[in-house]
Amino acid sequence: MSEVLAVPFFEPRFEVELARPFWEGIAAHELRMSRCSVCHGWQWYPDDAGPCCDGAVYEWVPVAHEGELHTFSRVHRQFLPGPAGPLPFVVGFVHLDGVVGPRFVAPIVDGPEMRIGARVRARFIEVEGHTRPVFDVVPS
Amino acid sequence: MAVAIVGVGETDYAWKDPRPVPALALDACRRAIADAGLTPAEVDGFVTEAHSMVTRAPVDEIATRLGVRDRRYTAAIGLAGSGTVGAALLARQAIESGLAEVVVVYYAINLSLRGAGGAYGYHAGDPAKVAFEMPMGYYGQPVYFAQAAQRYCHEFGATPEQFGAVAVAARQHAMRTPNALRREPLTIEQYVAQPWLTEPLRKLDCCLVNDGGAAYVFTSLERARHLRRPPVVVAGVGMGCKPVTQAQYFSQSADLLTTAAVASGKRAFDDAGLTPADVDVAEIYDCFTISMLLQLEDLGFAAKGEGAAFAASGAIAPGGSLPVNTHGGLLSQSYTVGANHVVEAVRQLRGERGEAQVDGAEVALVAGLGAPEHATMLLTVDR
Repeated sequence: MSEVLAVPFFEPRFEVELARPFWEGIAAHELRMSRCSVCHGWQWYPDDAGPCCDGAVYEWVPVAHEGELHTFSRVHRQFLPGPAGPLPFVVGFVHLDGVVGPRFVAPIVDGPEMRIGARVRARFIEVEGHTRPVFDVVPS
Repeated sequence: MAVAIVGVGETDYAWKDPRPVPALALDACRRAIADAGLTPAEVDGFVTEAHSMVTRAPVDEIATRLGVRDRRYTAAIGLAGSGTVGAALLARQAIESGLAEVVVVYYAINLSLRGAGGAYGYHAGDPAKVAFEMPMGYYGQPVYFAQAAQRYCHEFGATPEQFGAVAVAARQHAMRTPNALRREPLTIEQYVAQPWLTEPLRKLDCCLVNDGGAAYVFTSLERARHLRRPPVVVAGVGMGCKPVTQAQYFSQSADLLTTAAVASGKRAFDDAGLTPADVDVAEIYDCFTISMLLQLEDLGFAAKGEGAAFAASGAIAPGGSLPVNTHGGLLSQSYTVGANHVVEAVRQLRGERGEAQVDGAEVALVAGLGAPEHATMLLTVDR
């Protein structure tokens, strides 16, 4: 099934190679976030300085595909460079179940039940040959 | 030893200025030094904002073109507004410790010349944003601040009219400010009627996008008393920083509704031996209406969650109990990244502001935000 991505299309670039496991996870329909291999504290976002503990590396772990919407905005103008996308669209911050602290920034499929505190669930769609996560509001 | 600001200068603010950033900085420095009644040869120190200025308008270029003969102190501090305001921390320290006698601080920006990406392009250079956020549609400063604003509305029940009160007050101040770029009247009704940009923000909630520069000159209070302008005393300065990176700040801060003004404000007030009740006029970094509301709270002018009601009460407007951004701020005067806020506070305390003058102003607060960082400065008349 083909579906239009809910946000303007922007292909991820890898100025930091560190981000590649994240998008490999998305391609495999899995959400992953990075943490410190020594203390297991979340390191979000990873950067070239490396994790918090001496000698540690980033480890990418699968995380829940469901969570709670912490905040969102319905965006009425395209700020992203590149071709025009659908407007308006919604982007928000999700607190995924079991992930305390970091927020997953993601497009949310708009609808009448959109509200802060809503339960949201990820699904994966194919856009221009790339896999993307979007979150649906779970009807209450 | 007390330290004072003795000269201020601004370029003529413009939507499009053909001059590159160093030329704008140079213009502002010349005006500030002339305002102080000094000559470039008397300048021996510089402090600049540490992120943009270090690369876009380096001190060696500016000092050399000015004609500075013996530059013996050069330093950089802070990000964006935390740098333009926090520069006072190092300027004061350098003068107090004898490392320099006359210190110039400048900031300039040219967004019309910036090309691809314009004002938003800055963040397209952030690897984390490019990899994790832009593909999700999360991009552009208005979108970042809208997330905090939406959360603010959710937690505290703030209304569009309360956000509008910040924009309208800024415009009312700008109407009394000859060099402000937006001076046409604005009402709450007009604000509410403007379409959404990124909910719950409208274009009127966002800073202007324009070109310009500003500069100020510090020296000892003792010397200041022999110069041509009334000295404005640096009574207190403080800086603070949230424990996140710039890349993390907008989406990953533990509390989206608190800025590092909590820390910098307390340090500045403690340093000055003053309290929020002592402040007559405040110039607060207003890149967005929501940013000003959060800082009003974090600096102690309103309880957390009550900044919006405080703004809507008329307190921050001309004639209010705490006039805020008496030049029109980033929202209606110019996006000079808080350097214009320092200039305005100095002019208020000199009593130079004509119809925008806050009667009897003796204590001014300046607050500068730069993502995780924040600086607060308290200025007083010489008393």
